[in-house]
Amino acid sequence: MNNIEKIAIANRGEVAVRIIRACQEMGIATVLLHSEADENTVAYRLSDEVVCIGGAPIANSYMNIEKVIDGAKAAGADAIHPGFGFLSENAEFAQACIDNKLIFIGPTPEAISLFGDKISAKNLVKTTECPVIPGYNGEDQTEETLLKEMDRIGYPVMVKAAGGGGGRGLKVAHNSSEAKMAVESARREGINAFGSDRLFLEKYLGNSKHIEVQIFGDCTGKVFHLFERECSVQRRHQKVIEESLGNISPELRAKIHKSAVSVAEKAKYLGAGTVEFLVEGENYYFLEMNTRLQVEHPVSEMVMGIDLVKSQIMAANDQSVFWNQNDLTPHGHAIECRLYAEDPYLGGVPSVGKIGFCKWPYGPGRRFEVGFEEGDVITTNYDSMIAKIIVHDESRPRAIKKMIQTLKETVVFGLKTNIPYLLEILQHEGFVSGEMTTQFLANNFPKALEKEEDSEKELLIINALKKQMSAKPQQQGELKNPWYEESK
Amino acid sequence: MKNVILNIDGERVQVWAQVLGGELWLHFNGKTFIQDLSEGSRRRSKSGAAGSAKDIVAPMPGKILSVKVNKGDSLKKGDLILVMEAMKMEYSLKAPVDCKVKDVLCKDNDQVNLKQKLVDLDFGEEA
Repeated sequence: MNNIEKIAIANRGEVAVRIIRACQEMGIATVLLHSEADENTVAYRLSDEVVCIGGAPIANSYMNIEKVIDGAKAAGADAIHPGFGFLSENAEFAQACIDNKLIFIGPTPEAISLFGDKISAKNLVKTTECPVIPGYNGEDQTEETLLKEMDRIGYPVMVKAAGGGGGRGLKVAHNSSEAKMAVESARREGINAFGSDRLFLEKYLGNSKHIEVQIFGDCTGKVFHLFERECSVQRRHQKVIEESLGNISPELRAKIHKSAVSVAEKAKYLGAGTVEFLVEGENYYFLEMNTRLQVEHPVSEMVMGIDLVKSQIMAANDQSVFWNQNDLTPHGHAIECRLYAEDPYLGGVPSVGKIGFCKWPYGPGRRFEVGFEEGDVITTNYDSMIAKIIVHDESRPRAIKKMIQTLKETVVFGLKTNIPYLLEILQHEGFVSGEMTTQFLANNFPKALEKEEDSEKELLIINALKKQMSAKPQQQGELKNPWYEESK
Repeated sequence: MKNVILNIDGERVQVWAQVLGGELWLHFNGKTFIQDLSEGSRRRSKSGAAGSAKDIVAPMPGKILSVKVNKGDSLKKGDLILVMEAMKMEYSLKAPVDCKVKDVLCKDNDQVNLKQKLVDLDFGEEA
């Protein structure tokens, strides 16, 4: 039985705040391991103790295993919570924690390496009922074999040059008549660009949804599923809007949950994890497993009425969670928007600087996960996410309306934000219908937003305020002497 | 920061306003507006690389990956001027309106600072 009394947080921003608050509510002391660049943040002000572990570049601080471990030990912490990103999915770091008698709040180093490697992950999944994306990566590279394999996989098939990337050496064959040409052309590009003619094949899922299942392995070895999230709204593989639940049939839901649990059980998984799938129609395929808390965990928390961070801490503390799978019933719908400091009219160029003023419009079913406040500075050192806004309501249409209203009332001065972009997405037919695929943003928002001209009424208001705000303070006359009434 | 309620044609509008470094930031009716206070009130606000000035400035510190224009080029609105990299992402800076390239002030692989002038543009005869 462990007895965690002090947790070191090896992260920053809104997730550090999230973890500190969970600890405070559980009566656990916190020490924030931060970089030199992160003194002006909410987490820094909120934590019981702080230790500066190094300079702003992540290699000198947040990604430096030795410095993180030293910081945690110097502060006398019993455990380390890695949050997400940075060292959260680094098996070497998890092992270093164990070697230094620190509890790593997360799965075992073995589970991290197992799922961190695409091939070993796929091999493990193949031993369960869970479907993987059909493909071929064999030694036999003759054209005859490749064409036969493509017919077996089923079209469309993606032909990739080994070592390819960024779309080079990648061809899609939509039917068997295109197969030969795709193989020849991918091979040519492979030889020219990477000096290798080796190819591999994979079923092309160009019209799929990203659905992920939140799972949780408790200290007794029991694995729970906490329903699914829909994260198809992605830009360059980065999620922008996440929801729970997903728009899938009850039959598919039952199958996908069972598959996710079987994968986690097979790996004897401990703590919070996410099994990601690509879904096309009623078919689903294992994509990868994330062995950490996810950025979008709040939507699951809202819908399921649970606290994933506290549960993680309990699992690390050898305490079992209070749940019973049959009692875990979802309620309503939750949506999360990631608020980035960026210019939507410039295609999302980060907007750095000091936050002059911000207002989070609290209200029923509105949750704000905030890492920075008025006076804090967003730098180019890290990710430009300043907050996450999560709403929860009885239905998806209501949740969408609530999110639109919340974003419109949110005020951030000093930095540009992606709020105008988020509002466009939330009102787009393809989003409202729930039919969006992972190609949604690329297809519908390929370019930066166009800035609208200010309307007559807007100009009226702007000019009125301009006058008010630029007016010099009135010259004060000579002070009257309050000791006497009007002079006689 | 100032929070005022205006009455515009009988309609109540709540406005948040703050002056930051010569700019007036406004928020009302669900939108944020940025106005430059430094150079009179003639100019309209425009966000972005072009700003309201006649040159392309770096919207953030980063590295120039490739300059796509030469001095004297005529550009159409939306033409690619240069590609830069910042925070491991690539960004394309484009012509805000039809214009001519007066001067190119940076080259490939340059490290540039925030608001550094990169390209000088000629917008032609403008009232």
